[in-house]
Amino acid sequence: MNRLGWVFFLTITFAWSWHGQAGEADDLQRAIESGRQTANDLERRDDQKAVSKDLQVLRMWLDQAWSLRSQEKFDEARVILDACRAQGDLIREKITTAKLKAQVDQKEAELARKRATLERIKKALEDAKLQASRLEGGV
Amino acid sequence: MNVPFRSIAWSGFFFFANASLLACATPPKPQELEALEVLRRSPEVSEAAKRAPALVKTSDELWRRSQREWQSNDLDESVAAAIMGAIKLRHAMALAEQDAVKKRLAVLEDSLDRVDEEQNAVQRELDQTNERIGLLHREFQKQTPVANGQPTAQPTVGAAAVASLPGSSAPAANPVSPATTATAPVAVGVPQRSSYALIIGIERYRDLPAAPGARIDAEHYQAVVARTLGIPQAHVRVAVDDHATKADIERNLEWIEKNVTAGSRVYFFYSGHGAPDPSSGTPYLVPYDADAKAIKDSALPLATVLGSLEHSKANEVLAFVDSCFSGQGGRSVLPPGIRPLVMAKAVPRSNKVVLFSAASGNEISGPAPGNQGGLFSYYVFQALGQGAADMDGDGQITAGELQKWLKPRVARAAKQDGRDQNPEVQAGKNVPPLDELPVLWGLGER
Repeated sequence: MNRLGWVFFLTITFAWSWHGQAGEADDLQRAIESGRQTANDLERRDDQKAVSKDLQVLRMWLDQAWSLRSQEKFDEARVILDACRAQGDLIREKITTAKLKAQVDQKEAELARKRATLERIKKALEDAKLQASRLEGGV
Repeated sequence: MNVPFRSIAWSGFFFFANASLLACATPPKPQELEALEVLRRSPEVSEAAKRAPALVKTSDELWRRSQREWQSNDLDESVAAAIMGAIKLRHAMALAEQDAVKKRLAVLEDSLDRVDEEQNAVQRELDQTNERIGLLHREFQKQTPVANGQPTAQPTVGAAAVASLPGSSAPAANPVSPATTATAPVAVGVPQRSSYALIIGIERYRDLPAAPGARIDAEHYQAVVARTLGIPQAHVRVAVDDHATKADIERNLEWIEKNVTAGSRVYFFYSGHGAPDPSSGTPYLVPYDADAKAIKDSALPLATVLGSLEHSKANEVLAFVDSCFSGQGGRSVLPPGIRPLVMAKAVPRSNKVVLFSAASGNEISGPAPGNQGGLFSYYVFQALGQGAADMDGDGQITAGELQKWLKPRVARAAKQDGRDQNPEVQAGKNVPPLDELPVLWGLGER
């Protein structure tokens, strides 16, 4: 290969490598932005504020991934993004559980109220029966 | 020269030997790995393994990997594996907890259904018993002698509660005595010692057809006023049948206006005929001596009655009107052959009045089954007098709660009778929101 050929080969190799790195950085940026969007959505769903700490951790990891991406430490950033995805799944389940628990609390209160009302109606029935029997005796 | 060289050589040897040993020694366990191990020892793990075996298996593998990496001094890898392992394990535990909560929810819903069924059954039995009591009352009244069209004092429970004020309408002449209502099945609330009540029940009319059940309604309201609301007898006026002429009612309204003290409350109960002005649709309450041909002159506009109550110093007026203004039967009258030209008008809102009406628009207010009085009044008695409208079980019945309880029951019972009757509530602008306005409170505390 003559000198021109070497120059051409090295230029192509460098350009290909640079293009590959730019593509990876873009992929990571998209993944991190999507993760941040997911964190915001999860926060909106968290009516009971049951996963505030988990969300804080998730956001911290996303910031860390962004910092690693900026330093072109792509592999490490990917490891952290994997943890972010798993954390997101965990938070989703925890929110569902918290919502179900709130329903349980509500139903328990409703049951207690209904039992109290039932007791009062039973008492009224007893009184009414007594009154009816007295009237039957008097008529 | 030899000695220092030897010494430096030995120092160098020991330094490299120590450095090699330190490089080969296991570093301290990462906190993340320790946290994962603590998590693995928690009792919830066995349930999590049953619910999500794949997640727990992955967590186990990550834990082993974390340990391996730690042993081989790759702390970053060890920490990453431990964090991932902990997340997977917590995910599995969250799923197991979710299942447990779902089971609890199913059990609660089942219990709620069972309580509802039981409540319906008990309520049905209570309705039947009350119906029987009503029949027994009628039977008793037939057997009791009536002098000059006036019901005489009756010794047994309930039937004696209907009476009327003498023309003088002196408070002392109030016919309700604690003895007559004490044994009735009436709920007891916290006494409202500063409140006032006016009860009007007109069953028999001088020149008009009777409004069946109005006297029973008055009896029910008297029991509610005396026991459930705990209003002192001196604060209660009752006008029944021929003691409920236009002049009597006006005198009672004047008495309320003059006597009610600031900050107190007025309860107004009316059971009897209503009538619309055939030309304008203005609703009128029909007194005992009213003339159907001259409603404007002989009856009292409902708005005037409520306005008069509003002029008192009371904070709020709670009015219950078991009447209708359709002019088409039920508890509404018009001269024979006359039909109203216009729809009955809505009553103008008074600022501090909450008006519970038996029916809306041109609907008919009908009787309760088994001669238990008016349908609306019968359910008001159940709601307040038996505390049935305390739907949230807090011992307090708010106006909102009362309406929510009354409306479907009255509408359902009317439907069974082949007609529409939808009670309405109308609140003035100075009245608190209905859900925050207690009608009575402290049920069962006394």
